[in-house]
Amino acid sequence: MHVTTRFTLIEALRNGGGASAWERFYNTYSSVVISFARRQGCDEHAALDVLQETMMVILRKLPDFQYDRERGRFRNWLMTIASNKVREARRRAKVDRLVSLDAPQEGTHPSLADQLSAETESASDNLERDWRSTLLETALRKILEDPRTNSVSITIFRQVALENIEPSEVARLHGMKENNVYQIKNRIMTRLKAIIAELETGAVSEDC
Amino acid sequence: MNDSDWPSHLSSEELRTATIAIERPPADTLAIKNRMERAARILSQLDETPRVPSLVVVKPPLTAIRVLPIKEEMNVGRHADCDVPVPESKAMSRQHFVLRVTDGLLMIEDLGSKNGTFINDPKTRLTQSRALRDGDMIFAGEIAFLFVNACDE
Repeated sequence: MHVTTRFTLIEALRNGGGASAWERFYNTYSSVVISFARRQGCDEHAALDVLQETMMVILRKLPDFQYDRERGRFRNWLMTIASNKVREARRRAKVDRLVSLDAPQEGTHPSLADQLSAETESASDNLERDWRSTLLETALRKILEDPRTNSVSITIFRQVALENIEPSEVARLHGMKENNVYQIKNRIMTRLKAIIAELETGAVSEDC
Repeated sequence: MNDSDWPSHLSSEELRTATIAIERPPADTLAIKNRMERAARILSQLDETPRVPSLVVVKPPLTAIRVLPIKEEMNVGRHADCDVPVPESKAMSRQHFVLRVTDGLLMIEDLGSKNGTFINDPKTRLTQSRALRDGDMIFAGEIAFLFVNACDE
């Protein structure tokens, strides 16, 4: 029988939870930070820089972090750090570009440095929007990559929630009742929201 | 944006955007993970975590020797006249590399050292000045230096 124990990664890390706690933290939040950096306009290299620098701050600051289970604190802290590091990546891209003026241009997409002259400071709403999109993307990826997730359920969810196909039509396609389609959609939506909530607070469910 | 409503209501548009994003292959973050583990092991040896931008001198594989606050400009090498003399080294050049603060960034430049300066990857030699990232590891001779960009965050 599985017993699910909720604990917070943050608490584990603060209490010296060791290598496994750190590994889980990194595995959970590295994709969040990378995705956020990309949404903020970073290319692959800059996004990895943002990840490295964000994780270094967390390494240093986590022991002093005033953690409580209030939903907003951890996510605001992490988002603030990551957005600061994106700004630093932009400054660095400009300087690195000046240093390598004679170097051949790599890639076909505009570099972060190219955007500097036309860029305006991101409004706080853009940061918040990008952060939410990041969490949603991370949660969706977790569900899709979870071997326990039924592939038919995913297909049904995509059809109803993403492609806006009428539930009655989806039910007909899969030979099931319409009510079942709603149940599947709602089940996945509930999981999505739960994962997002975990990401925001640093709480992680673990089977033991 | 109202934090209290989200993610109670997730729109199709939000979901569609997220689905498109996950089609992109995930970034390879293993190298960063290894760097963080290395940095954690080095920092754990210190009496206290640096509170100002600093260089942690490391004797391989991961023994922290001392911590040096970053100055506007500091040259590093075997010679006693260097701002950061490293007498423990036999393989560093007398004047090996220089660190300079430029526009708030810490730039590193090799000073024509015999054995080269390497950042993070012991195989990729530094050929031009570059800005250091928090957590970068500088390899010079048989000595390493961890850059810790501690400041108010």
